[in-house]
Amino acid sequence: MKNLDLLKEEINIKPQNAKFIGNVLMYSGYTGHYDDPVPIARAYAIEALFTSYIKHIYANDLVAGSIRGKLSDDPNITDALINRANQVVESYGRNSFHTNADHYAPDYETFLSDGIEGTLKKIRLSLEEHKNDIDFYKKKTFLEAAKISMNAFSKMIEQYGMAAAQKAAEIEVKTQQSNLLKISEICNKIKFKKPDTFHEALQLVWLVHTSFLYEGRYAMALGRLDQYLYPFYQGDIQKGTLTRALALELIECTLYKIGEAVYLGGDDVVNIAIGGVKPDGSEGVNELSYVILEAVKNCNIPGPNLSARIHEGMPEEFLDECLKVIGTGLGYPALMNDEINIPALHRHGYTIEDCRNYCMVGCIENFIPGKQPPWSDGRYNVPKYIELVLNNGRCIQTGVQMGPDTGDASLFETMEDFLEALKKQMTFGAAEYMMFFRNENDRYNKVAYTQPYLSCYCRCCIERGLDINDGGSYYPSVHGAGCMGIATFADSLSAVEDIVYNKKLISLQTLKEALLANYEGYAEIRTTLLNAPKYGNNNNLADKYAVWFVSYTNELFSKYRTRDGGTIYTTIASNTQNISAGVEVDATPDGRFSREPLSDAASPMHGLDKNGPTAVVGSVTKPDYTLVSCGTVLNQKYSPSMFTDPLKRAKLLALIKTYFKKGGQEIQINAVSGDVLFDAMENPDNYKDLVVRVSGFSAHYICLDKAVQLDILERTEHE
Amino acid sequence: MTGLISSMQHFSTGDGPGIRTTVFLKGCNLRCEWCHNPETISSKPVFMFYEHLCTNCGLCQEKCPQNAHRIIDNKHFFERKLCILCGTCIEHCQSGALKISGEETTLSAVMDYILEDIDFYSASNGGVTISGGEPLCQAEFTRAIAKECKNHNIHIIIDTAGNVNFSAFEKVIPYTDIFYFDLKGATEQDYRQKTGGSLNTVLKNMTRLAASGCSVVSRIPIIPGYSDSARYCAAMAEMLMKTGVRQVNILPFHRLGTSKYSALEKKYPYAECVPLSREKMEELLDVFLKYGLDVKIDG
Repeated sequence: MKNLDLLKEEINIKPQNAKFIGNVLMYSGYTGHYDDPVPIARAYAIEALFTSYIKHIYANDLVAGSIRGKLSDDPNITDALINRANQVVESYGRNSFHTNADHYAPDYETFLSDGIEGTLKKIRLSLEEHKNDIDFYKKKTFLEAAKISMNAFSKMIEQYGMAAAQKAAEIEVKTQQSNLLKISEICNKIKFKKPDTFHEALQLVWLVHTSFLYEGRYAMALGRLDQYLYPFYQGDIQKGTLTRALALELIECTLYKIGEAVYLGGDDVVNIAIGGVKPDGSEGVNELSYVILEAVKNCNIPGPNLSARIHEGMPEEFLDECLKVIGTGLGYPALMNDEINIPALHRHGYTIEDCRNYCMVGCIENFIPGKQPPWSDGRYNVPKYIELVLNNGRCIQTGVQMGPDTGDASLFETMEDFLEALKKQMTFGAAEYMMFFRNENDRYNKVAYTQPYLSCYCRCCIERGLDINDGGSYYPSVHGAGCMGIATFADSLSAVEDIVYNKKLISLQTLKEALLANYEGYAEIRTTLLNAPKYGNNNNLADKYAVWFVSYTNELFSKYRTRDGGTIYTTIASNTQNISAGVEVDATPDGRFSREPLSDAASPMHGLDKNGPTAVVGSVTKPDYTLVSCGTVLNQKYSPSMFTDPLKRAKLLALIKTYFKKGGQEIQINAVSGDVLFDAMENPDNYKDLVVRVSGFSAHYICLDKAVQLDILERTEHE
Repeated sequence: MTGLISSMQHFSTGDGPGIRTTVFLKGCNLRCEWCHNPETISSKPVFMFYEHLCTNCGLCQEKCPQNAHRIIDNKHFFERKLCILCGTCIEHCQSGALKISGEETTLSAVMDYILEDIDFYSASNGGVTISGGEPLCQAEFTRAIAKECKNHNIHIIIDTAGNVNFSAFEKVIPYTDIFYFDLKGATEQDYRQKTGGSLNTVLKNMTRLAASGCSVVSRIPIIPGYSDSARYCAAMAEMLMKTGVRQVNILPFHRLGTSKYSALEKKYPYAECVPLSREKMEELLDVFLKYGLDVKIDG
């Protein structure tokens, strides 16, 4: 049996009757420091957290770091204690997604070359450097807190080393024993020194990632793993101290532990970007890119959210290998187009080298690793504004006046009048969106909410003596406005133009009445509207509104800035929130009934793309995606034979290359047949390992709720 | 110029190399028992009614000027002989249950459709496949499409059963890169019985086409209970050897066309026929290999 298979068995045994003890541990750190400045108290809480959980070592592991220590069945940890701990920890508060806490790609490159020793030295130097600054007290407090938490992390590594040695002493299998002693030896070195080998570097990265999980962070990316680990890989291979096979095993053991997220009740999304160009523009695909691809395939779990960066002139073999992995039913890697993403980032003034070094956080969000604060985003429900135009700013479901008074829609004589009113509603909506975002994002005190530990993994924070969210990061924070329902929007406007204004088959007044009645008694009108041109069929009448959607949302949000002067990106992706957003929107002129899901991400509306995948590509590539700096999701589904048959796979490869050449930004492919999915809904027990990508991240299919399952099932299956 | 088109399809993955657009022309001079495109046989438009998709909403009944649609007790009755193919019902149908196969289409409309995917052809070494029906039953229109495609440097395959006068081939030869040429029997008697055509004509055309330097791939449907024996395949292989054609695709029977027969209110004799296994196909592949033919399953 392979090492990975043995490890899988160990990891798949879930801890029983266990309670979450994270807050209890942090509480023990806070207690002695109530009178200290908040950042210092926070650092001591991190120290208690990192150093007092039980370091779990799997007998078959090659790389230590497990979140089992977050759970405990210790009877001394009573509910009363947990309540008390929660009270204190919540009083100190913590950053959330909306206040830049997670969805972050750490600066692993720098950290691997500094090690803990180098990082602590930087902190010392910075304390010296800033001692005459007018705000030295603030900086000193921050740097002290950083030092306390970094020392705590060092201690955590040391404890893993001891735990591995102890475990080795307890077991008798020789290979396991020597593997665990190796872990122990490595931990003893990297608890202070910088790593020199591939194994050491990978171990350090994984323990950093593990430490973030203890802090309660989610969607922390590993970023360009194949780039920052490559010098170590190459060095060891040249010295003959590492083989490709061993590197594969090490990565497998590491990534399979992402699946431990189910202990905490779900899947994580740990984005890993492979391939792409290097900062200098040269080819970035290397042997390690392929090793990671293979490891992710062998792990076969949803957590490692693998992204493959594709660019012109890259070895075709790489894309082909990606397709083979997608074809296993895994659903990733998601394919990202460098030729669009790099210019999309470069517009914001980052150096070209930094843009070329982008990776993704969360599902698909473009990110410059280790140089900007953690990501945040929200949902801008664009189809809602069509409802508001038709009803003079009033929300149909609630009767509340939500938008401005744009006049009686039945008096709009031309499509231009209609669009003018729509612009007003959208402009107002964007202002409202930004109001909500700013109020939430500003709802904390920058000093009290410092993140001293996270800041150690962001370029310039230590040097400047400033927190990641307080001017420490190299670039300012950015925010993503998730523009929902591009297809619902384009199809609706296409129907209004085609049916009301061009063909004059019905009046806007009649349309309004049909929508208010949710098409009840208006079946014929609904059919007429459904027959109007639809986005996803390479039809310009519909597609021009998708083009407008992308450019106008960008125009609206480019006027705004984040609190520290960063820009607002748009994104044409929606995760599964097209369903919840749809609940808020009344019937739309595309034939959609009230409260039904909106279209998903950049994909055409389910079942309305009737001309096959090349026509979908034709429609989706019409908008200028260099305006969409966060990213896009185009979900497509193909039958498994498209991947297994080399001749057919070559066709798929050509399709994707053409999609990218025409300006497509991203594509995510599922390789499952509708029959399988349907059967999985009926007999979930037989499909526990079925992984499906849902708009940007992978999940176990059977875990999805019925609406999402149907959503996937209905996506037109292209043969 | 116009032709009668059954349908056009982008991203066809089974009709030749690369990403292709397939144009299905209407009208066929054969009556193969197992035909999977029964709607293309007639050289006139035909009405199709997919009963299982119908929601009995009644709009077709309301709109039909001929009263050809009637919903009685929640069941939809369609009287084919009343239908004048005006298409009114289709415009109002929400469920996609109603369809007409066969539309008089201009050359420029066909070309517009083909050119939508031109970037994909060049990226994948694909192109256009003209199929049917029997495309050479509309040889002038086929020639016009092929010629126009050549002006855009698009690769052309013509998918024919070849039961036509050779003059039809002569019209298209200059613009065709590959002929996909069906072979559907080993004896004149069988061929006539199963397809209604003449094997002698087919073989003569095939030989002449190969001799004139055209690239020809013979496509052999493997039909259960007919051509699925090693002996029969050997007989076909032997005949092929005499034609000079060396490339062969053997195509396993499938019954995906079943619902089209019910939509046309026709009986499909092969509706219950189980598709051939992969192992069986590989067994037959070996028969052709023994003759030194360059043979593939599906192609």
